[in-house]
Amino acid sequence: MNFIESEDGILVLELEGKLLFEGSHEIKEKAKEYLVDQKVEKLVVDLSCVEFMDSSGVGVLISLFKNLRERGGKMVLAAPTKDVSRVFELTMLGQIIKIFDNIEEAVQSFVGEGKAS
Amino acid sequence: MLVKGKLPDMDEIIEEPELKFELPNEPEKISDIICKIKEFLRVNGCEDQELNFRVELCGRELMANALEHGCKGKPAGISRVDVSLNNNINQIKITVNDPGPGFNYKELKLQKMPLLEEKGRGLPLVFATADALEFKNNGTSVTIRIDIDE
Repeated sequence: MNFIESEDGILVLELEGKLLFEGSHEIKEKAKEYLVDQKVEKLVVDLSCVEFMDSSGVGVLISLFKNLRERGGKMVLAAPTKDVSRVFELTMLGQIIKIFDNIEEAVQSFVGEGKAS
Repeated sequence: MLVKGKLPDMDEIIEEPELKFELPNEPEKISDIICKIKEFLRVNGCEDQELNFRVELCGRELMANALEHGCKGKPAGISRVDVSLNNNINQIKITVNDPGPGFNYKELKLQKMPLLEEKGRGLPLVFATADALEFKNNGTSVTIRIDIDE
């Protein structure tokens, strides 16, 4: 799990491997702690290196999304792999969180927005 | 109770599961069993990305549920995982038995996917992914069937 500062105060969270029942709680808590400490308001979650995700992984993304939203921030998802996209379709996650095909589009969706709303 | 699809044809043909695992109450062991099931499919000529996806998703969700609910408060809890493959009729069957008290599975809303909740997607995902789903023994035994495309 890596955090990368992008332009306009946008933070990119890089996840990798598999986001699963085992380990999901730790990832969720570490990410939330960082987001709150750094007062992050615009978050792009880079999923290009996540090869698989179960329902607990989806729960992590929902938890981070709600954490941002409660603090007036926004979160989008970027570059899901094939199997992760299938899980998103089955869970209808796209109805809750915007999903972009690549990082550039995801970052661009925040540029020029000013403070997240 | 069968909540989706049909299972009896597998029961008639396969008496004993071809793979049996004991899953201790250690979540990291789930991946070991998934690897062995995928290897079993590969050796039996069932290496297919779609099949692998469905088996991994359903298998992980059933085992995670067994540990989270069936082994809750039982540090030494053991779940049993049985896997059968029948190449003649192109089906794989996975059964997960947990040592818990069970639950009222009849109250499950398997066709309703939670949207904003952090939990509750596991069994709806299995329902959406498997070709058959059956609960037995007060919900402590869950069996799925996945059809293999030729």
